[in-house]
Parts: sequence; structure tokens; C-alpha cells
Amino acid sequence: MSAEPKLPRWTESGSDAPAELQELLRTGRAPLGTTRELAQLSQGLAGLLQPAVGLSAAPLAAAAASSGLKLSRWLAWAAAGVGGAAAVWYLTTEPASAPPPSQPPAPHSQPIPAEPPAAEPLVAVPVEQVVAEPTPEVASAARNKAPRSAPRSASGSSEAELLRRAQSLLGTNPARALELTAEHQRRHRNGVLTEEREALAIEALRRLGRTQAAQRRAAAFEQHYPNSVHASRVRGTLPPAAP
Amino acid sequence: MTLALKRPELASVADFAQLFADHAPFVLRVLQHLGIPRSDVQDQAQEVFVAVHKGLSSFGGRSSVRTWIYGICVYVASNHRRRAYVRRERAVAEPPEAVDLQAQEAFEQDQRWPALQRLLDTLDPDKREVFVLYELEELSMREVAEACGCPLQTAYSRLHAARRLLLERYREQELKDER
Repeated sequence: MSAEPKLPRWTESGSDAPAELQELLRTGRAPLGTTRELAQLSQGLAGLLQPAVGLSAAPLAAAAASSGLKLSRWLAWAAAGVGGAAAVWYLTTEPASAPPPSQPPAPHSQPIPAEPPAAEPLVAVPVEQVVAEPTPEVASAARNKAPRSAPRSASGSSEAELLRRAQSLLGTNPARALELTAEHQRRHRNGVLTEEREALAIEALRRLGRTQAAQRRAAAFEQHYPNSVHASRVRGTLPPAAP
Repeated sequence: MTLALKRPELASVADFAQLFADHAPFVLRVLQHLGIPRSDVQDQAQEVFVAVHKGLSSFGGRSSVRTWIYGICVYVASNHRRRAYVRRERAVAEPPEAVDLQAQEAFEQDQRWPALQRLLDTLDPDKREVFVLYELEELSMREVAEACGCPLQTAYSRLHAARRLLLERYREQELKDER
């Protein structure tokens, strides 16, 4: 491997970049993320990943504190946010569902590309392939595209936000939670959270009493994501294996 | 900090949390440099870390963890751009639901930050990615090429083109200011 030729950066002394431009670029190197922003980010992550791997407020809080966050402010956020998110999940999830293994899934099952990421989508398997028989709600929602002018939440279209809302509604309004997963499917066909979406949709179907639909979708999930971190929870939806 | 850990060492929740702590600030920063609107940065950063979590199993340590995460940021930002309709709708939709006033104030204190973003906005995505990762994030050009998924020479070409364009923009602005 040949040595990489040294190209001075614009901010280095002796650079031919104008001084003002250099100063502007140095501004861009400042650390970004207030305590609150980092806490919000970790709160959202705990809500998304905690069900899968047992991630909770504690390790993120400790790590965040070690990275320089003010502990008192962090604890306030953790108590109000992450702990609440974890509690919501446990209150709305099948108690009999064993926690998924903390060990990571086998490499071959993961749709995330090996480093460095290539142009391939992070989730390689389109949901249309995963769900062999779309539920009526999903099919209907996919056919009826929302009008472009329809008002909607500014944050409502993001992957994470849609699924957070779906998760929060699982216990009280599983039909709406299912609609939100359908909306996610429509808007984020190649998103990075399709596994999470499918796990939520299966749970919503189960709560609606649509056992057969849930089982069909769970079987498709198992086939395409056999080592998913959500597999054990989804597996609980499947009928027991014949002796 | 550049980590070069092999995948098994990153398997536990505690390690993921440490990885989050080490990298969250720069993920938030680089997503904005790559053109993600501030209102979307939190959600996009979440997608980055979910992807990191899922990808740990296939991460073999051939590049540094940091370079790998930069690559995921580039992918997520690119994916966000492709969903252009989201941004078009947002421009005419209601204002954001919740504004982090404290963060907003801190952000607006330094007017140079938005000036930098406006300058970067003049670059097309390919040149912007290379310029940001080399000049602002201080990756080596080889790491930049890895993160962007392009040949090394292509990365150099994009960097030179980006520099040329930014100098032109800067001088145009100078001329305007002098009038």
C-alpha cells in the first residue's frame, strides 16, 4: 500500500485558504450537542433498542456522564425520559416474552453492510418481501396514499418518530399503532428500522386479536430475520411447535 | 478518539453505551455538516446508532469504528436527501412540535455556524461529504474514501473541486460586501 500523499488541511498554518474562511471552518469543529440534546438522543435510543437488548437508562447514563455530561441534569432527564420509556415498554409488552438474548445475532442475518457502508440500503430486504400476505390495513394504507397537502406533524414522518408513536400506542390503541407501522412502511420502504417496524406490527396484530395475521407475519419475520434481536419476542406470537 | 475494536468487544450493552458516549457529539455535528436540518438531526442520529447497533455483528475492525460510523452518517444523510418530499412538505407544514429553546439559543449565539452551513450548502452532496470529512472531521483521505465508498483518487478530485468552488463563493461574497 503506497503512502498517502500529505495534503495540508485548510485550517493548518501555512494553508492558502483566506483567514476568515479558516476561522469559519474551525467553528465547524466545535463539539455539538448540548446536555439536553444528548439526553434526548439516548432517551430515544433506549426506547428503540431497550426491548431488544435490555438497554436501559443506566449504561447510557453512565457513559454519557463519563463523556462530560452534567450528571444532575442527566439524571433528571433519565428519570423523566428513559426510565419512563423502559417502563412503557415493559407495561405494554407480553409479560411472558422472554427477554431476547443479549448476545448479538449472527453476522449473516444482519442487513447492515460491513464497513465501510456501500451504496446498498442498510436494510436490504424490502418489507414487501418479508410480508407475504399484507394485512388488510397495511394493504389499504399502502394503496391510499395520503394527499401531499395533508397536514401532519413536522416530526411525524421520520422513521424513529413514527415508531416511537406506534410503540407508545401499543397498549391503548393497537389499531392506530398498526396504522402507524403501515405509514412507516409506505414512507420508509428502505429505512433502517424495518425490523423494529415489523416487530411492532406483529405485536399490534396480536393485541387486536388477529392471531392468524400476526402468526403469518411473524413467520415471515422469522424467515427473513432469523437472528434478529427481536426474534424471541416475535417468536412468542407463533403457535407452539407440534410435539 | 479512534477505536479499533473487534466486534466481540463491542457486543455488550455497556460497550454500546460507551460507544454512544464517545461518538454521539460528533455524529450530531457531522449530520448537520452533511446537510441534515437541525430539526431532523436527533432522529437521523438515532437512525445512525440503530444502524451501528445492528451492524456491530458485521463490523470486523478492518477500519476504525469512527470511520465506520462516519460512513453510516454519510449513508443516513444521503438517504435523508432522497426523501426530498419530506423536506418540501415540512417547509409549508406547521412549525416543529417542540423546540429545544436552550439548544437553539446556544446554537444561535455563534452566527458563524449558520454561515458555515450556508457555505457548505453550495456544494453538491458528493463534494460536501469529502470536504466535511477531511477539513472538518480531520479524517485521512484514505478514511474519507472508505467512509464515502469511493476510490481514493475520486475523493481527492472531489476535495479539490470543493475547495475551488468554496473559494469562488467566498470571493463572490467578498466582492458583494465591498460594494
